[in-house]
Amino acid sequence: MSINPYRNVSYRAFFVLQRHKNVFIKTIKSSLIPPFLDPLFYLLGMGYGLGSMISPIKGMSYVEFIAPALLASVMMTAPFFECTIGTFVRIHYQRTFDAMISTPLSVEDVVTGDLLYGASRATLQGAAIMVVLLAFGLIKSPLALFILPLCFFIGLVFGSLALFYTSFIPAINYVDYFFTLVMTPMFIFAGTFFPIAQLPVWAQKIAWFMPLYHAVNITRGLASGNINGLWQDFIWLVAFGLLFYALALGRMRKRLLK
Amino acid sequence: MNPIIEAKSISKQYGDLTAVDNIDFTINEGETFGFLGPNGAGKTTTMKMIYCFIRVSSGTLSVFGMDVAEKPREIKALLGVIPQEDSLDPDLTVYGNLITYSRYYEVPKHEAETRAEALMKMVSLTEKKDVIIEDLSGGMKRRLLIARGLINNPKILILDEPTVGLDPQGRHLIWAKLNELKKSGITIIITTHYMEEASRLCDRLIIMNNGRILDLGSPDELVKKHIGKEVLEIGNIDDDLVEKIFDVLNNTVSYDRYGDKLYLFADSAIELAARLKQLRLDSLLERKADLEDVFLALAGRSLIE
Repeated sequence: MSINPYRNVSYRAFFVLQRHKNVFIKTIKSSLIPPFLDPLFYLLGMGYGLGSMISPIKGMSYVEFIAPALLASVMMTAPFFECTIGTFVRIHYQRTFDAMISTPLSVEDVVTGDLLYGASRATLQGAAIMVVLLAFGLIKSPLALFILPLCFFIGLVFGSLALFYTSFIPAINYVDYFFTLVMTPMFIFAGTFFPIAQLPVWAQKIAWFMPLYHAVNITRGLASGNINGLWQDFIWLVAFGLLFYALALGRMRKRLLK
Repeated sequence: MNPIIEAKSISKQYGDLTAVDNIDFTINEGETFGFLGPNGAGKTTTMKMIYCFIRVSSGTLSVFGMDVAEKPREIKALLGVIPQEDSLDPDLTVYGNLITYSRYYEVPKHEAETRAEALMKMVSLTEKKDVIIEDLSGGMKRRLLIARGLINNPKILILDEPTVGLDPQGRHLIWAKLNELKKSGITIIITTHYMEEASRLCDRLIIMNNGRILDLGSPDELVKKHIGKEVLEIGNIDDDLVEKIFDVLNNTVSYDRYGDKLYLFADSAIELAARLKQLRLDSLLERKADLEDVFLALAGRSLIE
């Protein structure tokens, strides 16, 4: 393919984002509290409870070790939910995708609007966790300020992967495979709750291909102030994100414009 | 007459299936143009190619001189599309739907608010302004779809089966609104399988079946050309009776037969009935010919097969 896959993306994607924002604000009461509680439970149960029995990892207490990983994992889960279930419902059940692409919006604008929204949700939920982590004194470095823009960027990366998957599924139950086979293994094995050095060598190689592994590396580095070598993870994520964004756009165009 | 949509030998294939088979047509500015045909005739596919929703497999299709493959954004900006299925945004209110869609067309905010109010009034939904979509009736949803399709002041309004599934009141209300719009000079394109709808609204129409155009013309022209003025319907017939009828008439009349009904086409159904008086037929109906007769005459047999 010689044609630029991003050619039909325009500023109009922000009109779609605005639509999502308006709907989000209407339902804000139902979605405001859980983002604070979820990480709080993990932090208390696993960080302090389980962590009290675990010796420090690379000079970090266990709770210090998993706190940035919890933050990084919402950069994955928030866009995963928005860009699979949310997007599929609008394509298949509500048919609002059809209506939107009958206006000057292109398929790519609408898909990109969903992607921007997924990344925005990642940022909002990331911010909620930041508040919790700050309250527990788990953020040590001023570099952690960069975590919020990072949430948005990594949200785009994971959202692209989710949209690519959504472009294939014929029915909504198929998102279960995505959550079970893609999200859960990353959540557990991508250096989140234990360093990947604990894995057998072959599994470490697989972990390297997980975007969450790189997201955790960067977040942990920013939270602790140790940013050596993080640019490699960053480049990895940029490449992965651009690839899956392009693939998602192409697939969605094929799916929606018959 | 200023042609604004031109289709030259356009086709649409889905694998082995040919949904639209090498058709040509021209739609002029200001007219109400209909695609008439049964489900699966290819009329919705043709319409979706016009609003750049389905790619054209071969041939050229242009709207205001712009090719649908090259300028979809520019074309869509000039159209108002009212789909058959409910594609309203269920997470928003009536007013929210209109304002949100105005943004997709980049209508300035203040202008959009004015238009939304006017459109709600036009489709009698002002009182439902802040109502969520799921609380609207089928007819109200359809009217809101029409209002949404007008939010960008389109040059062409495209409606796919605008009254399907509506009760008689709902249907007449939509027809009245469309007639008002027609007077405003907007070009309207409509698909329907209701002959009554087609003859009430359309200036010209295409009759389609199996992806092909069977004929094109105004409703009156088509009726006159294919049927004549009137129809005599004879019920409870069998092969013997048909033979007797044709003996009496010396095979001079055109006809159609479906099951136990025979349709005879003539300038005067009463005169025809008088000629058949000797047969003492018990089930006779004299009526004016309409598009349904044309449609059945053109497409009926293949439909039954």
